[in-house]
Amino acid sequence: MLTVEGLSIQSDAVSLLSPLSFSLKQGEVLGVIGASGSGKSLLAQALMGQVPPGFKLGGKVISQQGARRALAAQSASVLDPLRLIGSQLRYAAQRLGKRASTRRHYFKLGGNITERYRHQLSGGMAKRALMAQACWQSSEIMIADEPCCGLDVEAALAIYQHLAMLARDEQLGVMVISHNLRQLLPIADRVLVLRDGRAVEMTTPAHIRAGACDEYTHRFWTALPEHWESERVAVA
Amino acid sequence: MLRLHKGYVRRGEQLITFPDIELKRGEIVGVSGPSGVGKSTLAGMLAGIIPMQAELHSLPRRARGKPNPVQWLIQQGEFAFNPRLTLKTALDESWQCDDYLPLLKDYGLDASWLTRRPNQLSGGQLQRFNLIRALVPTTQFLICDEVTAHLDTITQAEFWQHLLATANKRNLGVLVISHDPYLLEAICDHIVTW
Repeated sequence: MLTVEGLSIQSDAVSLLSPLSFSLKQGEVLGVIGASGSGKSLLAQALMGQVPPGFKLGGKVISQQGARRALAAQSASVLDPLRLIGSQLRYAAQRLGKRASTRRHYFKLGGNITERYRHQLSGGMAKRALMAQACWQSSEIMIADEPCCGLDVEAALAIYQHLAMLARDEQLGVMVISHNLRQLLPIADRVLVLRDGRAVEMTTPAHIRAGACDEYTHRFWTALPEHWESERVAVA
Repeated sequence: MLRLHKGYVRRGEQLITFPDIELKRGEIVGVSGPSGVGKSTLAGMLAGIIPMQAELHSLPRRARGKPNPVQWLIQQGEFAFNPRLTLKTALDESWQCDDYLPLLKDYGLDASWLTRRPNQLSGGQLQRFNLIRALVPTTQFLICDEVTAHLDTITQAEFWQHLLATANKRNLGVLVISHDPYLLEAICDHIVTW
């Protein structure tokens, strides 16, 4: 279990992330939503202990029994360009030991991914490699930053299903940062909403769908194209 | 009119064939298909950047020294701008004047952000600047290649609101390439499925 108490990112003059408190249990999927620039990725980095240069990390992140955390970053630029994907994943797997092999069937990594270099992967393949790396690195807490951005519907669905399985079957605590409410809500147990570096609320998918949440949160739901009021409503 | 009939491109041993496309001015046409079928290649061909092979095709003529009448918007605004130039330099370069200034307000962009470089703006803001850069007066068609895939739903709705209003006002033809069937359903006159 991960307990976050008053986590913040600040410099003397500017606050990027105002103190945030929440918890993430084993077996739970916590969704994080917010507009671009609301501090979602900053939160992920802060949980890994990283802050932008010139800023200070405040508050505490307590992981019970030293639960390990791993981050699947948004961009494939974190993969080593000079090593085969397979070799990087083996390194991650070594750290996890025996459990890696049971997790190998997640994210379907075939030779078409492991025997290639970063620049030879398509967007979808790179996402799967990043997910696999994080899931092999961490035995307790996994953070996925925009796991499905730019993927087609089926590929995105497969990744979300794998994330849900990791939580349910392997009892990982999974935090998913996403703006794709359509795919996030079915797998999330709770949803944290951020706006301008502050928490708007902690709510649940059912509350969002029903509109029993903050007005700002509900706007993300009503802004989905299938909820636009009529065709070309946008032209108004 | 933008037209492609029996288009194909050869990449080594691989042959990519394209669906037939017809896009008139004032029309919004959607294109959907799985990852990797060649949607971005199609966008490049229609923008006249990737050489086109087809039984029949027509693209608007590009006047010498003028911007391309078919403007291609890519998925991530972050990669569309030169990281070393300010937004003002980038926009001035394509417009050759500052007539774009009134557009900024329509698109909810602050004119003071023009002095910033791309890494000082969010993805949604950059994508709007990217669109304004493409809306030079000579533009007749816009090819939107997953332009809102990286944006949150609120920003996405606002982006399309602005874009469709401009397309309507200026009688632009818009080709929308997207994985999101609901988005295509909501904004397109018709949809071409790969």
